[in-house]
Amino acid sequence: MLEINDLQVSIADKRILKGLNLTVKAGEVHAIMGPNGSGKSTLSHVVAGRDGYDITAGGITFNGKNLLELAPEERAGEGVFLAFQYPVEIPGVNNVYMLKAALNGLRKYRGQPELDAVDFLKLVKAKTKSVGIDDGLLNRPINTGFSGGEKKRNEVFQMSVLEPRLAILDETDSGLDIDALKAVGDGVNQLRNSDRSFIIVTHYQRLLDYIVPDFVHVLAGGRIVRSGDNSLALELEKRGYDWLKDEATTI
Amino acid sequence: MSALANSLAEQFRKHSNELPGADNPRIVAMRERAFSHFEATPMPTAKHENWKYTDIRPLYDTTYIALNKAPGSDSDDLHLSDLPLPSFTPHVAVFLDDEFCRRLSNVSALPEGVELTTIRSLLQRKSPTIIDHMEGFETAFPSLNSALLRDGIYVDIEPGTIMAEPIHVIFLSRQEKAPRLNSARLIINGQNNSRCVIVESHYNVSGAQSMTNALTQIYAREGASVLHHRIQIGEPAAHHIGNVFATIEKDAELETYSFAFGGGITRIDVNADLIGSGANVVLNGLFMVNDRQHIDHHTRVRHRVPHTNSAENYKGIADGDGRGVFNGKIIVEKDAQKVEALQSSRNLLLADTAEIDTKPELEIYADDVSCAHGATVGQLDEDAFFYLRSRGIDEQTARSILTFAFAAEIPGNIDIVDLREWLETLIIDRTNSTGFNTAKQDE
Repeated sequence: MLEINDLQVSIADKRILKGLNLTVKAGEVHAIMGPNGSGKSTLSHVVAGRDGYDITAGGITFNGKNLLELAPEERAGEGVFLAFQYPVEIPGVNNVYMLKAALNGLRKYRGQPELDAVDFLKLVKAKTKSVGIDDGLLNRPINTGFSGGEKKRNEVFQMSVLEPRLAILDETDSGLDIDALKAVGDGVNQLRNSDRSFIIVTHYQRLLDYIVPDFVHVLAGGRIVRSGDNSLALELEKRGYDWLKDEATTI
Repeated sequence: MSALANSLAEQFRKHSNELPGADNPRIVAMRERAFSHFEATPMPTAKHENWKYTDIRPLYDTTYIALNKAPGSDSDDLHLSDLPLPSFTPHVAVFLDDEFCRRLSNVSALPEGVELTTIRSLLQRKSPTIIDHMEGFETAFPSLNSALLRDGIYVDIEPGTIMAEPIHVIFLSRQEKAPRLNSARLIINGQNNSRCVIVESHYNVSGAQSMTNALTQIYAREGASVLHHRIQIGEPAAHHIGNVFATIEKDAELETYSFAFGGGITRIDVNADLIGSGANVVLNGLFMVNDRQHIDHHTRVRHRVPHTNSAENYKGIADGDGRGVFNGKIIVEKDAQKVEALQSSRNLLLADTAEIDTKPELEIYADDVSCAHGATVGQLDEDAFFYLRSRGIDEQTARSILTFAFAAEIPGNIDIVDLREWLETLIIDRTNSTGFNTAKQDE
C-alpha cells in the first residue's frame, strides 16, 4: 500500500530524513518511535503533502501512485489522512461544514456523487455515537477553544467520517490525560480493519498500550535504525533511546 | 481648475435655478455658498494626509452631467426583485439616479411616530429644518452634495418611538450614456429615547462611468438608539464618495456598519461626534477589493465630553490588483475624561499584487482615558490552509472557506436574519469569483 523508498528530506538545507525506507501493507499498524528531533513529524507532513520540505532523493508511492506529485487534497482523495499533532483552530469555520466540504471533496475526487445534507447529517450522527464525541463540539468553529483532549478526539472523529485507507497519527498522545488517551485509542481501534492501515508516530510507548501495533520502528538521525514487533516499544520504554542513537550515527 | 470643477460650475450657473427651492433666497444663497466652498477647496492630492493612499484625480479629470439631466430613468421593466439587493423589510424608499421612485418604494405603512419625507418636498416647502442641515462641512464633497441636491430622504423618529422593523433606503444608479454625477442624501433624526434601524444601500446597475456623491447625516438625540447599515456595491466604472456624519447625544447610542464591495474609486468617511455624557458609538466595517478596485475608509471618532465610549471593528480583504485603505482617527478632547476608545483594523491580503494600508491615528488631549488599537495585515493562515486541504478540500475551496471565515465576523452580529444571510451569500460569491482567491500562494 505505502512504499517509502530511500526518502531524503531537507528543510532550508538542513537534512532531516537521510534515506528512510518503510513498507506498510493493507491492514497493518506501524508505530514509528523516536527521540525528539529525529524527523518523525517531518515524515508525517511529507506523506500528507505539506509545503516547505525539499525532497532531495527517494520517493513515496501509495497503491502504485507517486504521492509526491499529488496536492494534499489529492492525497486525501487517494485515502491518506493525517491526524495532526497540533490540530489547527479555525475560528469562523463550522466543524460540520468543513467535514461536509471535505467528504464531498473526497467523493468528487473519486467520481462518487456528493452526499446531500440529510444523508451527511445521518452519517455524522452515527459517527458521533461511535467515537463518543460531544455533539456540542460539532457545530462549533473548528477546534476553537477546544481542550487538548477535545482536539484529538475531533481528529479521530474526522477520521471516522472520512474513512481513510491510511491514517497517520502524529503524536496524537501528546498532551492527553489517561481518559482521553483511552478514548482516542478506542476510537482508532474501532476503525481498524483489514483494508485500513495506520502509522502511529509517537515519542512514548503509552498510546501503544491502547493501539497495539504490528510493527515498531525506531527513527533516529533521519533513518529507521531498528524494526521489530511490539516488544521493541516496551524495551524502549525501559531503556530510552540513547542506546540506539549510537547506531544511528554509525550506520 | 479641474475639468470636474469647471464643468460643474458651468452647469451650476446655468441650471441651479431648476433645483428645488430655487424660489427661496435662503436656499439659493445656501447653494451658492456650498458650491463656492466646493470650488474653493483644492482637489485632494497624495500630499494631503487624508488622501495619501487614494488618487482621486480620475474623478476630477472627468466631466459629469450633474444638473439638467435627461428625464428620470424609471421604466416599468425594472423591479427590485430583479436586482441583487437584499429584501428584509416592507418599508423601502428607492431612488433612481437621484430621483425618488414612488413606483418602487413602499412608505405607506410606516408606524406612528415615524415620518419619511423627501428632501425635495422639504426644500420646496422651504423647511428651516432642512436648511440647517445643508452647511458647515469641512470637505468639498458634502458641500457639493448640498449645492447640487435634488432629492433625498429625511427620516424622523419621534420621541419615544420604537421602530422595530428596519427602513431600507436604496440609491440606484442605472444611467446608460454620458457619465453622470448623482447626489444621494439621507438624514436620520432619531429623537429622544427613540429607536430605529436603517439600512442604506448604494447600488450601481449600469456599466457606464458614473460617480455617486452620497451624504448621510445621523442624529441620535438624548437616550436614542440608531442602528445604521451602509452597503455599497458598484460596477468597476462607478466611483463612489460617501460621507457619514453622526452626532450622538447624552446616553444615546449609534451602531453603524459600512460594507463596501467595490466599484471604481470608493472613498467612505465615517465621522462620529460624541457630544453628551453616556454617548456610545460602535463602528463596524468590511471591505472586499479585487481587480483594480480601490476602497478607502476613513473614520473619525471625536470624544468631546467625559464618559463617552467608542468601539471600532474594521476588516478588509484585497485580492488581484485591489487596494484597500483604512485610516481610523480617534480624538479625545481636553476635558473628555473617563473615555474608553477601542479600535481594531484587521486585513487579509490574498495576492502579492494587492495592497492594504491601515493606519490608526490617536489624538488624546485628556489624561484619564482608556484607549486601545490594533492594526494587522496578514495572509491566509498557512496551517489552516494545509489543514483543510489535508482533509480533501481543494485549494480554491479551502481559500474561499478561510476568506469567508475571516470576513463573516462583521455581518455575524446583524440581527436582521435576511440581511445577514444576504451579506454572507454575497461574501461567499465574492470569495469564489474570478480574481478572488485565484492567486497562487506558494511562497
